[in-house]
Amino acid sequence: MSWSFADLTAVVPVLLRNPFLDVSYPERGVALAILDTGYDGLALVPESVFRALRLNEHRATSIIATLADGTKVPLTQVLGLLEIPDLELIEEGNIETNPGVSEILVGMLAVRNLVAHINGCSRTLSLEEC
Amino acid sequence: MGVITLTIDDDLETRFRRKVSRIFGAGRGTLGKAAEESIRLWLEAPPEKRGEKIVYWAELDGKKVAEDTSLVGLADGLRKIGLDPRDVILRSSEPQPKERHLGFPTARTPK
Repeated sequence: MSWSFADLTAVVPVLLRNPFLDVSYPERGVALAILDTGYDGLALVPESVFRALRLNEHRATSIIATLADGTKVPLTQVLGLLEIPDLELIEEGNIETNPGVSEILVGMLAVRNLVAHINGCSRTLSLEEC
Repeated sequence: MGVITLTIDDDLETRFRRKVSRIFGAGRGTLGKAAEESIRLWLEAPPEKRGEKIVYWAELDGKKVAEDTSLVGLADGLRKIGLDPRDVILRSSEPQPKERHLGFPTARTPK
């Protein structure tokens, strides 16, 4: 499955789910998440998305994240589901947030069972199962 | 040092001995060194690579109150026992890293 990207940011259409309170984000359709190979988690979302998923109502755990410049920031995390509907793929794991996050990122855990091919010439991201 | 006596497939043994000899030479203790490294790698591998299912569970006051091999199953389990999922801490058997990386450093900060 391939998706085009316009501004050199590889994006994947995803659906995030909180199976415990039966909430999805977005409620209809999909959201575009940036594939960030420098992030080794599953999904990092803005606080507004975390709240929309009502993950903020759960008893969260936390983990320290190291940014590229060595700065350390705390991430709040709750278990949830990341779905890539076009691939019929569902990954379970921590959905994380921090006040400084403004985009939905999917990290290396999201593609651990996929072959990812970024084609800078045609500006497409292809993902397929291993 | 621990001692483990194993019975393994003949072909696997031959391949293992050949590879160890090629890499470490025929010296004393080389088989043990390679076996130790193999066991370490196996232990560090993701659970699914070992054929192990990831287990999710809910904890309340430090006690496990429900578990399942999927989050959807765990959510159902909590509903069945009438527990509000917001009252529990949700955990996974998947090994958690001590730290997350959000972009990998490309240069070391000068000392």
